[in-house]
Amino acid sequence: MSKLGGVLGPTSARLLGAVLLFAAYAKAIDPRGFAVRLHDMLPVSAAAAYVCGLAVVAFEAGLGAALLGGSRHRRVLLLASATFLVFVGIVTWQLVRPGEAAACGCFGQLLERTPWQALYEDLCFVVLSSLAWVGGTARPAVLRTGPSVFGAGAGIALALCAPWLPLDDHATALAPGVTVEATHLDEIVPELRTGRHLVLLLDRGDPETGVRIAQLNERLKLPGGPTPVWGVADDDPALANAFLWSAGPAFEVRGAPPRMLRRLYRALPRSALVDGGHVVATWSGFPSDATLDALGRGQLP
Amino acid sequence: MSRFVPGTVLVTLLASCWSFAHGAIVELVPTGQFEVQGSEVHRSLQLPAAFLVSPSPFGRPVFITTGPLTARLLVPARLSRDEADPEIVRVDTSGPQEDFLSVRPDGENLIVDRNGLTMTLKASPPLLGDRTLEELIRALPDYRRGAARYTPDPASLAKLRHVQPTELLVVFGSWCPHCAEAVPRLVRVLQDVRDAPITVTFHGVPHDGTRDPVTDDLHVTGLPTAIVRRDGKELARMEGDQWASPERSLLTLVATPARSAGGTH
Repeated sequence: MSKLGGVLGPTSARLLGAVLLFAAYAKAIDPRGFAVRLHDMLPVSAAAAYVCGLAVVAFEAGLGAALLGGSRHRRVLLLASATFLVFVGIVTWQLVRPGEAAACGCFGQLLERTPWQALYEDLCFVVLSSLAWVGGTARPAVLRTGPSVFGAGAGIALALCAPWLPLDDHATALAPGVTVEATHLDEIVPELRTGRHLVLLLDRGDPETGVRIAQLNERLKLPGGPTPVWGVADDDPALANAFLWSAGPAFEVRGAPPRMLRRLYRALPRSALVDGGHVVATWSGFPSDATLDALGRGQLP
Repeated sequence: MSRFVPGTVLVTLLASCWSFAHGAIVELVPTGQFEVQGSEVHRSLQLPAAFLVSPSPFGRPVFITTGPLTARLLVPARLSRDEADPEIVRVDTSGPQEDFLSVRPDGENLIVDRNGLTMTLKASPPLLGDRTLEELIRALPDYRRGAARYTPDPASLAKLRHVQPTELLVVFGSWCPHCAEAVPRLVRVLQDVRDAPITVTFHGVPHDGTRDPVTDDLHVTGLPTAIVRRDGKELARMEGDQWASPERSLLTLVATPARSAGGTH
């Protein structure tokens, strides 16, 4: 038992450390997306949710680094057990509270799970955190904070830099190669299942987007250009009408539930070229003028 | 005067660009999405959207374009109706543009004014509560046109005419884009099987988060949802992709055995 305990405990702890580091990374590459999920789940303001999101990233990365680094300190193991119990509590509250349960954002868009899947998974992690105690906690007696500080710092640094890093394809469900079914865009624009289309994910409240629409209309030779263009935006009728007056899009803009749309971008606008039911290219923002001109001629950029 | 002339030239140029982009003729149909008190509002079939408000407080019909946003008074010679489909109004936008009005967005509304006389084009309030088929298509001309464009499967229609007496409750939002796509298809099906023993009620729900007792009681989670009932007992629901071909879906659903704990309305 002591030999098994000597392996089981540290292995479980390192496994939990890896899980926490992965979770911190998934959140850090799209901190605003995680803040939106926190805002959905917890009674906090949007600004507070962003700060809470950064704190969660720092905490998970710090604790994960400590566990992966082999720390067997009582406080570290206690914190790990408490963390996963809190996760179970939050997910359970999501399931029992009135209204639709928000999807768990534990692993961002990298690993999407339903609230029930999240509950089962977190229960497994609670068991794993209990196993991490097997084998004792005495060595080393001194708490080494180096790995935690490094992990937390790296997590925060990544979260702060992430908006400027080209991680959209990696961090969202809209990436070259995926099917339109996987993006759920076909539920909003069934026409995407066949043919070639340019899809523009828009923020209808953004004045700059409104200004760019006239240029898009012209370069893509709309209406009636060779590449059909679809706008997709939050389904807010008030914003839709205001956008209609201010931007005058020569393409159809369809509304989508914000929760569905949020999986597809880190920042708006974002664009994608769909061909034969598959995403073949994506752009952060709008495509370049050269790309728009190519699409306006009916060519692949 | 010196300030007025460049403004007029600019608006004329923008309108000319719009005319160039759209060709000389713009076809418009009645819409229930926008309203002007005391007037009929038509919306263009093409994009960018254009609107015709007639009559208007300015004495002549007002033609509004988006992308760029302009508004002007039309002379009667520019207007004509389609002979085959009198609902379609054509506006001839060719040649020199005349009689421009001041126009500006005000949130989701559009304000058109001249010399202190103002006209507001605003989004219609949502259609709420229970409506019959006739009331629905009278209130929402866009649905009527959407229905006219849809061609249901004739074999399914023939079978639907001989189903057992069935009640249909369609929960929808007149503001909901998915409903505007889907519900007109069902409208067409119901128009084509008027002699079938199917009684239908359309229930419009609000958008602004206000709770609706019907959607709450019946646990409706998405729009549109059609609840199929027989003798007050729920048989099935038409949701999501089933709206792509409502006649086929309906035919399948009316053959569904009644749920033991069916909801009533």
